[in-house]
Amino acid sequence: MTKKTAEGVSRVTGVAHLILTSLADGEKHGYALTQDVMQFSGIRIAPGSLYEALARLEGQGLIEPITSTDRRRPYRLTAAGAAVLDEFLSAQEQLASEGRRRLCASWRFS
Amino acid sequence: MAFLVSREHLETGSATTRRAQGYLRWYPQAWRECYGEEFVAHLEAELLERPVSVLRTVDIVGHGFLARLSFQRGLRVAVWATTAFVLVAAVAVGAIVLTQYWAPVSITSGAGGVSGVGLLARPNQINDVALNFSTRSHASVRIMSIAVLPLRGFRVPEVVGVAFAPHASELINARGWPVRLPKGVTPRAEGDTPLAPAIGATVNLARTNVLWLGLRVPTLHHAYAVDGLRVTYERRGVSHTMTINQSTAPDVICANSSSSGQLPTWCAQEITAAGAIASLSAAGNPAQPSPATVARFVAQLALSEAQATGHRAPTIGDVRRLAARFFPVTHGDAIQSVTGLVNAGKPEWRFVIRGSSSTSTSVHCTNRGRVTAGGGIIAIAVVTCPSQR
Repeated sequence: MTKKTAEGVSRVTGVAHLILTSLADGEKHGYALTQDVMQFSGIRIAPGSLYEALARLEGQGLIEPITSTDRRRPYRLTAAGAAVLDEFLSAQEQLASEGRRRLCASWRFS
Repeated sequence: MAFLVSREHLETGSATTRRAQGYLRWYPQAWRECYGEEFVAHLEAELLERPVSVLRTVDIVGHGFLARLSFQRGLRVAVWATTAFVLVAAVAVGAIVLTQYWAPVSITSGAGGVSGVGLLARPNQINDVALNFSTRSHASVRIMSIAVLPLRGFRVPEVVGVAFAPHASELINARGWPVRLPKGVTPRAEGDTPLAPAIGATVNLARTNVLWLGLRVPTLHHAYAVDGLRVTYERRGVSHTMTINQSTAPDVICANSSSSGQLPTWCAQEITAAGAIASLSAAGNPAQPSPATVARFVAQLALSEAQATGHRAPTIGDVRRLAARFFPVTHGDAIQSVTGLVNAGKPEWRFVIRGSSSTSTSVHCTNRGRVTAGGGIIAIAVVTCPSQR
């Protein structure tokens, strides 16, 4: 993992990586984001936490707002955001793979 | 902040919108300009889905405050300054409280004792001496030990018992040991009630308190003195020491075989000497005074003793004996001679006392003190002679 990528991953906290994951399959406004996150993870993001994370991710250049005539402004993933999410998920996959291997070896889980 | 009036907006209802706008007020103006519209729209949908949620309210209020800190520098400074002040104040108060919590008891020793000064006692008799002290702290302490503070030149009596009483000042007790207070004397010890032993006991201090000592003086024709007490006690697990000092009037007990209540001359002389020794210490003199100071002091004692025994002149031997008893280190070598004479019909003695330098000498005299008809104690001072040859 390069230093630049490590910095990007370290900047992504719990709520933020849920947002990036949700935006990976298309742009969404805030309410749709929370509904989508609830559906795939079971985690409910409260409004205050959501908009604090959106503001931070926008400041880091990982997401960007889309101009809309609706009051509810949608957001989409940027290239930088996609790269950060990719590195993060790779690290999670590596961790999951190693954990599964050790679990099967020591605890006889299948 | 402008709102686009959509059908969806109309369908959510004004009450929900008002609630959403109410939540928005927790955020600063600058933040509302960036995210206000979408935030309200989001909240309207959430409030329809879940009208009540304490966690959501806490989340919005908390992040609103954090947003204010982020956007408003003045508020940020004020919050940090207030937090720092509160922390410093809490630490200071905590330190003060903890310090006081384990602090030793602050006491004021009693202004001299009235009980036990100039007692006569037989060696097989136990006498009581009372020392009183005052404190503003109503603390509970556990007395671990006591030690009698000796008086220079006097023997230390044997302590056979210690008793404590709060709310009591010193009293003359004629009932021996253990101490029993007369009926109605204090609120805590009414009636013929023996006091509890103090060593190892937890006592509750009051404004005035008394420690009674049961003392024995084993050797006949000797004087014993109590200059004060050093008390070791525990308070909240921390050990402390307090000194109850009665140096202005040390208690003297003379071991005497006579059952007569009248003090013999030698005992009266011992009481005088005890008072003089205590005054010397109270005057701030060092533990080992200079030879000149010792000489003047023992000259005073010798004069007092001579007057008590009938105006005879003190001899150099008397002086040296007193010096060896009270100042065994410095002795009375500074007094080179004692001369008795009569001046205008009054007895006068002159001491040649070596000065602080071994090469110089100075002559000191008594003043022309008053002698009572019965040869009683006279106020005498050692002064520089008016003329020297």
